[in-house]
Amino acid sequence: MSEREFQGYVTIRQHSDHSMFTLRASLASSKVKAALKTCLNVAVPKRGTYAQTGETLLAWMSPDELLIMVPKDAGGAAFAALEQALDGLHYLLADVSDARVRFTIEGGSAREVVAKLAPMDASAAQFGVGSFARSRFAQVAGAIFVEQEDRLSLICFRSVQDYVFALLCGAAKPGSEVRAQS
Amino acid sequence: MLILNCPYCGCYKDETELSAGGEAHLKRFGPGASDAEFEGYLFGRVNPKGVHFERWRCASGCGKWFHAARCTATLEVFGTYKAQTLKPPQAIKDAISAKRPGWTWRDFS
Ligand SMILES: [Zn+2]
Repeated sequence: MSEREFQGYVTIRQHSDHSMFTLRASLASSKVKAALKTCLNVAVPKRGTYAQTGETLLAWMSPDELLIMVPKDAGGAAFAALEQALDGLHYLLADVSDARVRFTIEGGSAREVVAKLAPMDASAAQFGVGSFARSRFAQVAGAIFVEQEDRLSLICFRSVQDYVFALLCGAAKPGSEVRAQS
Repeated sequence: MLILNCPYCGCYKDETELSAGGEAHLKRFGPGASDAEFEGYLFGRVNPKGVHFERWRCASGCGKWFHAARCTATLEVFGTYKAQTLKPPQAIKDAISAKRPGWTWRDFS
């Protein structure tokens, strides 16, 4: 489901079709890896990347933190299964669905829109398909990942969703292109 | 503009994505220490023109603290390294020596 949309020189859409969990645990632990594989059928992603099976994503937030995204209708069951599989290990699992929102940036110049807002290197050479990074978008923290060359996703706190949507729309405003379209 | 490589994220972070944490490698003096030691721990900071060691936090990234060796006069960065250490790794010291032969900083050289 798309909550709102803006058609600029790239398309900005807000989505609410995923549940999001934060998992804090040692990502090097084989027991943690096994629990994630069993419950979600997704391997733990390498540093700076995300891993995906179907509509379920695991994203590398830090050496001891993952962002887990599962389809909303499967969220409750996945959370319960994870809690059971991680029982006895040193971990913290929290449902942060109500604390986060996700936007997609689609179009040939999607990277350019990100580069306008964040100090990170958003070039294809440094930030290819499958990459995931946390950065700062104008005044607020956010995370960004590359699903396809022309489709990037941005995750931020729900409390700043209007601000981030306005930022993205401003950066995608027709006529504000930095480079000519090829 | 200062750009540092976060050793946990493994990528470059802009100064505005980081929080400065002041001087690195401070030894904590707490209960049982003399007044002079405690005062030095709280307030005694070096302010060198040249080689310096600092703590930084990857605030907009992974959230971890790390260390950076850099030159305060030129902003040249010699290297960054993880915070789980009491002294700079040899590779960092070698990188500094290559650029600033004979450098010293507190007890390190
Ligand atoms: Zn980092």
